[in-house]
Amino acid sequence: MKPWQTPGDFCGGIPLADRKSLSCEAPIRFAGTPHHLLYPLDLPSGHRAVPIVRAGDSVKSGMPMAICPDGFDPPICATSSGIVIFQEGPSHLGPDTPLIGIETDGLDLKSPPLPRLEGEALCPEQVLERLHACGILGMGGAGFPTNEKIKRLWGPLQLLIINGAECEPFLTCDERALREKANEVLRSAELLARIFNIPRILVALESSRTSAMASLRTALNTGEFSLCGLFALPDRYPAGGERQLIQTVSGLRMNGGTHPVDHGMLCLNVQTVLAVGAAIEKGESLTRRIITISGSGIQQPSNLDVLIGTPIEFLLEACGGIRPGLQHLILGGPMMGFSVSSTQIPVTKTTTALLVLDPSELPAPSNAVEQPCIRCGACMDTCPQGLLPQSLHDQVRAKRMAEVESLHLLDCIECGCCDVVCPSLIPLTDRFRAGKKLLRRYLADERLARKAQSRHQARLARLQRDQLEREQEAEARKNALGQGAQPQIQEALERARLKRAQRLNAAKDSGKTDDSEPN
Amino acid sequence: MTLIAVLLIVGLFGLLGLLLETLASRMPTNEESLVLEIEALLPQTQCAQCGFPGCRPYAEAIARHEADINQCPPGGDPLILALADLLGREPMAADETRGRQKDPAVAVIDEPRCIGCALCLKACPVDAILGASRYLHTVIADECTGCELCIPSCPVDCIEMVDRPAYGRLSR
Repeated sequence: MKPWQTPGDFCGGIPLADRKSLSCEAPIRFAGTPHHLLYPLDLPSGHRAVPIVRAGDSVKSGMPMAICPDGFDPPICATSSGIVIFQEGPSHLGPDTPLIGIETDGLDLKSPPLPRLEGEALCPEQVLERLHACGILGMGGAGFPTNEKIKRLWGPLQLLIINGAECEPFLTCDERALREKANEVLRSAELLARIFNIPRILVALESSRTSAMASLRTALNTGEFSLCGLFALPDRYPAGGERQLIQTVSGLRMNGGTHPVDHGMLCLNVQTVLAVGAAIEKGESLTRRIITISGSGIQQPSNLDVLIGTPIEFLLEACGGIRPGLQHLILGGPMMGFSVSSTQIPVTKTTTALLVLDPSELPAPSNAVEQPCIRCGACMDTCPQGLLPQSLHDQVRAKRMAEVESLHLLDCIECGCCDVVCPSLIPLTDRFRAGKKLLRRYLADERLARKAQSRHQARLARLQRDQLEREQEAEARKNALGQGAQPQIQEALERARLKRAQRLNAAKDSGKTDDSEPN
Repeated sequence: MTLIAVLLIVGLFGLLGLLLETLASRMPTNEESLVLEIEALLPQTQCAQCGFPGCRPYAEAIARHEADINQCPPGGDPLILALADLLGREPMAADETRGRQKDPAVAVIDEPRCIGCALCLKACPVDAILGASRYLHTVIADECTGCELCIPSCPVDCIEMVDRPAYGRLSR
């Protein structure tokens, strides 16, 4: 029996050196207000937001500054007070991503919070609307709007899972949040459970996070939170991936297009739950988040409570700066994060960490020379989604998109496990990321082509039918004239003659009356 | 005895022959299925740049060896390679006299200038233009294949090609 066939476990994955002790002991502190706050207009979903303020306008914390045209993503809100500026900015999203920014005034004025939702107003519709207005989205990394996540629901929810797993090395922000705000997290979760009638809440975190477990137990022992329970996850990357978490907790392997809510489960990150609680109870917009600043290149690794939009330069200073010689900056965890080259990049709602690493600390070497695939199959055994990375790699390189789709490339969660185990040092995840873009494009083209084909065929059929009808009509008319139409013609002529005679008579009569009238 | 055996075998063969014949008539012929396979590779813009009135006729011509595999500008080199792969022919350079591969585009009608003549409705191969005589016309961007056939039909030149809107979230 392979290890992942035991209940309460997920497929594949790899154990990683956790390196969490660097930052997990220092309490969370507020980073302060920087001179500039910047927000990329390109949103995690791929849409671009449209600004609703002009340069020079003054804004207060919580005011919406840009909205998504189709209303899918929540608005981009100011996170402090100041004057609006615009900038073409460097960003990890691409060099030409426009940014909207604030030159802060240091006063941190807040726009009046929305009213607390209670009593009648505490219904699902109003709560979802509130989550949208307050800018709540998944803070674990993917940035899917929380209200949209719940909206997909069509049946009752059975389980709310609070995802406290941070399987990536170095990351401790959610653990710190659980240790310091366990009560708050559980209270928000229970509030959400009452609104959406969820009978059970599980807080899931890795079994090695004992301090966070302890503070959660203390909170649970007060007896205040009757719906909540704890769930210990295996210490293996990627235990915190949504699909892996669901598989571990419920044994269910979700296929392709389904989402947890389709199976009656809702999975939310710890910080998302905190933000949801604040939005419902205090009407506060999401303006801050907790971020881990760590790595061997940081003087004082710690967890900071930062304003969203803070440039990372400011955070590096707040942690004592970078150790000389180390310049490798990573936004996010070492497995799934992005290397960044500029320190002007702002923190977004989905940024979990800022790491300064020695290249040797990366789980998968980044600039190694790639060797040919030796068909060892290690990537296949380690893939937590049960895909076939080596076949996928071949097909992606050959750009055979139909095969790539049938090998379920879109199910790849880009966790990077295959990169770590590959003895030939092939950067598989990078290839898959590029392949996904190509595949999405191919599928969109394919869908358009099939639609155009059927519309063209329908048009041809219609033209043919029209032609046939016209021909039949002409034929019918000709036939009618040709054979034995003589009586009808005679009749018609008779009718016309009669009508003319009547008209003449009528004219004669009216002529008489006309003559008599003047007398 | 021998006679019975002979009759039996002849009867059996006759029956099997009939069965095979009916089954075969239900299957598409070789050429038909080849046409379908070729057509599935073509981009379905129905732009007629290949010299045939649509993607289907071009596919039929290829299957009958009456047309080269390099006559489709919207398909570009990837299509030539795919067709060469499918048909076992040599890949060849694209025939640039028929046009060049362009970025995906859709037609847009400049509505203030439209006189409602309904000529473009007849030109559109996929019925992607909505309108009626003496009423404003508009292009349904989602249905437009970017074939540019409507452009020459417009007497007031009010149709333009613009980049196709970015591929949005793909529902799965």
